[in-house]
Amino acid sequence: MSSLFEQNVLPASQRMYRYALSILKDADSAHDVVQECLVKIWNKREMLQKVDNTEAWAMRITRNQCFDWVKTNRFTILPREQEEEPDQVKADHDTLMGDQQKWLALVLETLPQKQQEVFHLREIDGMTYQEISEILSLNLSEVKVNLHRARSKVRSVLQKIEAYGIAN
Amino acid sequence: MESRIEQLLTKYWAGETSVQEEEELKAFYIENPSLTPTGMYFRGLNKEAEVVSPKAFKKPGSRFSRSRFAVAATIAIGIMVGTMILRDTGKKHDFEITDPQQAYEIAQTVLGKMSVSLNEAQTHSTQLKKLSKAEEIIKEAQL
Repeated sequence: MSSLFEQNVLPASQRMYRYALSILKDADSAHDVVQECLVKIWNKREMLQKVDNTEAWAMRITRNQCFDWVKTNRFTILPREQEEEPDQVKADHDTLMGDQQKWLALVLETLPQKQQEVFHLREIDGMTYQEISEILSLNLSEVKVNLHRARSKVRSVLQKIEAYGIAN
Repeated sequence: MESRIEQLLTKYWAGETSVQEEEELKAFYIENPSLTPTGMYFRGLNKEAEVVSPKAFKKPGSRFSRSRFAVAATIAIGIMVGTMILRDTGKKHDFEITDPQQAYEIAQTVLGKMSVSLNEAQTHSTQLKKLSKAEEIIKEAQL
């Protein structure tokens, strides 16, 4: 049981961290949530043999733990743009073009929560539709619709950048 | 190659690409760092995928071994000290203590020193146990 944990869960901890970070948008909280998830999974390690996809299961636990964390700690998820000065960031074309991660984060934060999560799991972590449906408790067509909508939004921003040199 | 990427991009925006094809797109834009917004987008995705926690994750269960380690270390030190004393008593020394009062005082001093060392080890062990227990309580409260 302990070896299943070491083989399947521990290697997924960074992926769990990225997912928690995408939801909480705070590195320390994301780290603490993942550490708690590891303890939870360790305590339930006898279940690992019965789980088909350990990684998807661990990601699902991470998601639930993130939302519990928000509730119990009265944690407010602040979009990254509120930590800065949005008008200045949007007006500064060089900043947007120069910092790829900031640009992408700004676009993703305009998406609804579910679309952000589907987008993250697929585009950042390369998970299959089946895995995403298990993590988010959605059916396959809902996963595809959410992903398509998220990509459409990203594409429209990309087209605006291409046409005018700035995302509005 | 360009036409292959164009085809993949069309499929991608239509939501028809597989995970492998999406990896191919990312790999292309990493190898060909164009300044087009699409290129920046795929490189941005790749950068996000490389994000790792600045702090390492602790393997659960390992915290319980700390107190066990302290107990094991105390026992090992005790055995070592005991062996040294036993070995020492078997040796013939150049000097001999014949006065019972003097022997008593020396033995008292040695035992006193040993007692202080053992007490210190016991205190450390107790402190480690308390720390471990406190950690468990905090963890349970958080869960």
